[in-house]
Amino acid sequence: MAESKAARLEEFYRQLREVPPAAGFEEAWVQISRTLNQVEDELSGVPYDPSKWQTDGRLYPPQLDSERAFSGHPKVRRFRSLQHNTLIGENGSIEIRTLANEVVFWKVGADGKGVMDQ
Amino acid sequence: MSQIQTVKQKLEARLPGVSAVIDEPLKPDSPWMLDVVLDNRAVNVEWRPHRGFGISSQESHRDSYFGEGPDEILSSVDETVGRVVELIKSGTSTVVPSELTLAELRERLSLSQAQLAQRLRVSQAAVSDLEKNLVRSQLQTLRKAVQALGAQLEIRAVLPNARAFTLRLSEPGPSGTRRTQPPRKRRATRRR
Repeated sequence: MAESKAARLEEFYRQLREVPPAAGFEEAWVQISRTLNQVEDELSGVPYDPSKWQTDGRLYPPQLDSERAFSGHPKVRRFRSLQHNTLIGENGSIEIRTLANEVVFWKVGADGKGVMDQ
Repeated sequence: MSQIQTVKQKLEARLPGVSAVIDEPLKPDSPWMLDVVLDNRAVNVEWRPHRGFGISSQESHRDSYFGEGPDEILSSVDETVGRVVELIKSGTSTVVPSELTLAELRERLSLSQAQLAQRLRVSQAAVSDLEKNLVRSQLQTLRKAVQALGAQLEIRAVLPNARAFTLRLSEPGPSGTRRTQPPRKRRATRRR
């Protein structure tokens, strides 16, 4: 039986925390995508089909075309989804925020610094 | 002016006091976001140039819906503005597509059973029966009902390896034989 979205998201956060800190943007990007896709493959019961636009009940990692400016932080890239902003630092740090700007996940990069410390 | 800017402008005209903020992508052909808030009610509008508008109501329990697509897809500016105004004023939520029954779809389109019956040229009782007994209903009748609502019926087959296919519903011909498409010319393929 498929787990709830809240349970799957918690599992995603848990597994992403366990992965060693990334050394740069590309590595952090791959960590996010790979971890979430693995969790959803195991727990969502919904086949992976990123070409769909309308919701199919599955959680998807940020897409490259969803990038926005993040003013005042040139070393941070921001990716917008419907309910969240995912921030990825040049140093591999990660932060996920709700639209109300509440930080719901954060992880430092390999240099020990967080997204906002750069 | 882009279509999402027109939506924003029309919403501001129809909903005094609304906050409508555009979150612009780095590349103009990428998805745009419009965050609409009024009196603690919030709706996200995603605009994909050349594809249309995606709408989702924003609620606190949806903070766990990371990276999900929008609930409803609409094609025009006016449809989108009308739907967002309806959601904000009524305080109702967008509808997840898989949860829609035929009756809910009809109600969403503000049609009565009698009106749908008129379109189908059947009795209201027949529509009522169709909505209550979908499993027993004839597939063709169901398809016609969906078409009368301006939509297309799709049936998806999902294989054990998780690949999914949409099955095409062929129409029976006048003598009960199946109407088929003319055969396509085969392109010569080279074996690898």
